Amino acid sequence: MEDRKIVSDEQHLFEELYHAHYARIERLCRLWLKDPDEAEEVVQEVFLKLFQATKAQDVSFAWKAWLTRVALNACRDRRRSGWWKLWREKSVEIEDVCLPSPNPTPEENTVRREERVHIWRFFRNLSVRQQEVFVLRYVEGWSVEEVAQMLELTPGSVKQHLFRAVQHLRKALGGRR
Amino acid sequence: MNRHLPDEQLWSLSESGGTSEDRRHLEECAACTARYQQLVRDLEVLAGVLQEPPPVQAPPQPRRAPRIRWVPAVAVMTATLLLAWGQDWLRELASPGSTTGIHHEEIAFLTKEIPLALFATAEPNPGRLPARATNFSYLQAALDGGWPKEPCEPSRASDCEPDPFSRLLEELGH
Repeated sequence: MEDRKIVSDEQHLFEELYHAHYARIERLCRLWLKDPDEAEEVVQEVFLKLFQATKAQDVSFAWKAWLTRVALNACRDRRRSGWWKLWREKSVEIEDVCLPSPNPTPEENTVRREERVHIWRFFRNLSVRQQEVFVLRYVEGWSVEEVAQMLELTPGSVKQHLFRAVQHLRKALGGRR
Repeated sequence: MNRHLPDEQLWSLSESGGTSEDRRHLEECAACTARYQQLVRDLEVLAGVLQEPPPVQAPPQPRRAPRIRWVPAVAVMTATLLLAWGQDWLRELASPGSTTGIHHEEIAFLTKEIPLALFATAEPNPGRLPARATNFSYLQAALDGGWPKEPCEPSRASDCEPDPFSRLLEELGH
């Protein structure tokens, strides 16, 4: 009876975390890996690890940071593997032709499509470290100190990477000013 | 401070960094304030764009398999075959004598020579065995797996070792 309750709690915790973080982790993996199918595979890996981890930890654990770190490492592992490099050559290119978004956000209305394409191209040209830092800080909203902790860097180093990334990405917005 | 803030310091201020002097300058300098506000807007736009899915490539049009037009294809094939056959036929008509002569010779060769060669049941020359086969010492040597030992000719030295090749050459008349 006790065992069944524990299993049920674990399952409940997993489902809760899955629904709360799936979209976020998917976005992270998509940002850090060029290929969407590849990103999807890594997301599955991350949630498999989460499933195993829910047996050892409870709801009070810092799941958001843990999931982010696991996703980050999984993407790094995938990038390091030899066959990923081959696959990367065939990754989906950012094209000038955009598919219309079914639900245009106010941001989308403001930012011209060409700019979106530009921004994504510039983002892809950033170094891996700059991409990681920028995403964690500005897309995810972690503080510089938290990013430094996740990436095992000093805050000063994170700031340096961040500033370079910002400078580079702002060039994509050149037409706005 | 009269000099405008460089980009790095503006960005540092956006990250709650920078010195109190920088902050004071930012409050006082309209140009730096405008640049700062632009930076903040840019960061919002960049984050907003990257939160959305990347612009995807338009799906490529599936390449259609080339359609085979059967009627013209069959017509072309038939015409080719007819042309090839017609050429042979015309060549035959052009030189009837020589070809029939050749055909007769070929047929005679096929009917006489080949069956004899393929289905022969008897020795072609039963009376004449090759000279080498009649030499007993050679046959015995072949069976024993060694050199033939023939008695030395009286004219040769008593301890001579019969050389099969020299004997062979002698017998062949060289």
